[in-house]
Amino acid sequence: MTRSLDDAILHLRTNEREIGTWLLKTQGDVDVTADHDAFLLSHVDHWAVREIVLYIKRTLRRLDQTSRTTFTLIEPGSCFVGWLAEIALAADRSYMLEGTFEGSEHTEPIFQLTGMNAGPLTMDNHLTRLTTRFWGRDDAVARVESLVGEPLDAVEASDAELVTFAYDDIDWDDELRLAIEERASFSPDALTGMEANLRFPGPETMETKIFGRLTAWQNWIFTRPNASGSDGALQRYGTGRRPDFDRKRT
Amino acid sequence: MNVDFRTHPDRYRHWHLTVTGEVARLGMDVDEAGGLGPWELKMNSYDLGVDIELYDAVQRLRFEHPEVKVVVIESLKERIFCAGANIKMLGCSTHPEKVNFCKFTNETRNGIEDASDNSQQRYLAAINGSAAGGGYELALAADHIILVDDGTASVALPEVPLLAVLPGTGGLTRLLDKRFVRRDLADVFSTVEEGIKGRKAVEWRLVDETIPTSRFAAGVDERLAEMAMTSDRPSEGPGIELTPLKREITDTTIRYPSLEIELDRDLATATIVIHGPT
Repeated sequence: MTRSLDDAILHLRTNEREIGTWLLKTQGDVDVTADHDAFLLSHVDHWAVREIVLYIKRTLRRLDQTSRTTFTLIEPGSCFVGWLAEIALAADRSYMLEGTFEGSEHTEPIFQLTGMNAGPLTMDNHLTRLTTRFWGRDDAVARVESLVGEPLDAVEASDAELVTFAYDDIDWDDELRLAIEERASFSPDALTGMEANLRFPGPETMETKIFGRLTAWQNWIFTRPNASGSDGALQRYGTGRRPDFDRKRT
Repeated sequence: MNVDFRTHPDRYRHWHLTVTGEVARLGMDVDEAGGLGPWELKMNSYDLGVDIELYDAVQRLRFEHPEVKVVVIESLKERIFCAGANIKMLGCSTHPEKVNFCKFTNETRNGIEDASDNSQQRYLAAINGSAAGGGYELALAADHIILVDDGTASVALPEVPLLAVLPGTGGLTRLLDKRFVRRDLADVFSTVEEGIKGRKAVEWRLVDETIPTSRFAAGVDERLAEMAMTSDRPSEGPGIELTPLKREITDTTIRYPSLEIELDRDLATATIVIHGPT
């Protein structure tokens, strides 16, 4: 599953660049997912389990570093539990359905934290997504970590500040449509900058510095005429002719 | 052009992966004619295709080879370690292509550091010649850097003086935040086209040690054996084979066994459904 997600992120990033908004859903059994997390956590000293957990960590970090809008939709039949709940915490926004859809075979969706949300799956800022979400609010982190193992419905998850919006089935389609259409109307560049800024509050690490600077500084410099213009250094490289620089500093 | 990130050592064009006991060797031997676009990958320069193979190798070493405790990144070309990202490729690429390439490259380097820090699979960079730009940045991802002392081999970050861009895929940041190079020396180093060699490279903390040509191979092997002793990985397998990842793509759907994606090109959305464990 992690390999599929990893490849999907890379594929969409590279080959589907006009698809600006990712709607993230899960499908599965809440209890089985919780058991799976518990198994991983209790065997993390085994080399293979350690590798699996570290791979999940790296794949979620890749999602954090992806310049696409990410909305998580928590619907009936989903399993946002433990490491899969991290996907909701990684997203720019999360929407959770209150109750169920008319005619659905599934009951209302559940959001459930496990020990996986409280330690091993740190972001590039070396903090958990819960600590990042509640940056500067240690009491809030302690409060949500006390909810580990509790199956939360939409109202409870919303009250616990774990999801952005909780809507009933009457409002669900309209609210989502408006949010998606609004997102598609904004400048992709402005969204990339805004999302990357908001995803990493708190302290800088080597990783956040590198990604932030390569996305902004390095690639801004690349687009400047001094580098990539017809008289710039990249075009003149190997020709024996010196680049013609615009000497003004910013 | 559709880029496929799935590969296998049997299909590598640019890297040779060999495993002997607790040591793996990742030999870089870039196929000049194997670029993803109309550029020649001269002097072990790389493009996304080269990095895709490196990522695959790093992943396989972690999962398929629990017995591997140390990995050496080396060049199979004489007197050239790696010339960094291919300049013609950068000149041909669009802005989003460059951003994605740099991001993936750095994610792979972070993955190498994660392997060392958290999986105890250590990395050594054995620099046998010129390591310039991204070539030196790749070495910076390793725990330990050995530079051959042959009078000419050097490490360099020539992006500013040569190309009017930055060694920004971790180069400048890793110098200061990982190797603790003094910032004024880093300024000098990053503006010297030809780079720094020999004893000065050690004094400036750019590499960990130099070894003369005559003792280079033996010296690298000695260091590999020492580094292997610091790992807690099991001495025997079996590992977990990363079998081919099945994927079906149509114009609007992408299907994996445990994940499916539906594209809506009018709304510019991808609905990604991840199947939980069963």
